[in-house]
Amino acid sequence: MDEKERKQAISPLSAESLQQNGKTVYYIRSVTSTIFGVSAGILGLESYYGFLFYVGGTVFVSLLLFGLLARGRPAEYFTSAKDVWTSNALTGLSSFVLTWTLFYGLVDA
Amino acid sequence: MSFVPTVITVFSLVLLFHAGYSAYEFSHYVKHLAANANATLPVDIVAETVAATALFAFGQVLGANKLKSVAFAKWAKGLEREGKNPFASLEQRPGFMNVRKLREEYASTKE
Repeated sequence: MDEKERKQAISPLSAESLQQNGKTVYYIRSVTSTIFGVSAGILGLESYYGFLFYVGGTVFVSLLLFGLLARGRPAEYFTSAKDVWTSNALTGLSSFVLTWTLFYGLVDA
Repeated sequence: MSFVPTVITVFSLVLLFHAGYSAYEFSHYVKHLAANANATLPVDIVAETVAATALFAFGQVLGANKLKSVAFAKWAKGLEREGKNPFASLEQRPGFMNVRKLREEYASTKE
């Protein structure tokens, strides 16, 4: 039994809470990445700059999640503290590209 | 979602729509009216777009469901305060139900 297993045996985790927290984070990531795509299109970003915009936006949302939602204690709400930065960080990428290209075309008169 | 986050989100979407419309108008101006056809997007439209996006993310995170503690002990404590049983799935097992006894009880109440 390694240390991680021993830790979980002493203080077990609630699967229901984990699932609900995951759902909340997933929803925020999806909705915000769609809007990031809209603004990337309005700004007329092209190639790498668009993806850099996505990375910047994702980091911003992670900061908000860390500060506002987890109140600086992510270890209490996720299996590991780094999950608040990494979980679902790429789920919104496809919807980002979709709205990015759509609004890039729409704004171009 | 409560009142304040909804207001923030709606306001940010209005701002984003306005920025998008401005960007469209600017693109139209550059293409059809201006002599100098290679202008970049004005800084106020850029600022409006970025502000609207940041505000939207802020509103969404503010209005999201509260996270729940993943420690089983805390979760169970909260559930028991509500009068529910966190071990219900272990304690109520249909496989171990005494059907004959329940049937007798049912028959006795029927009379």
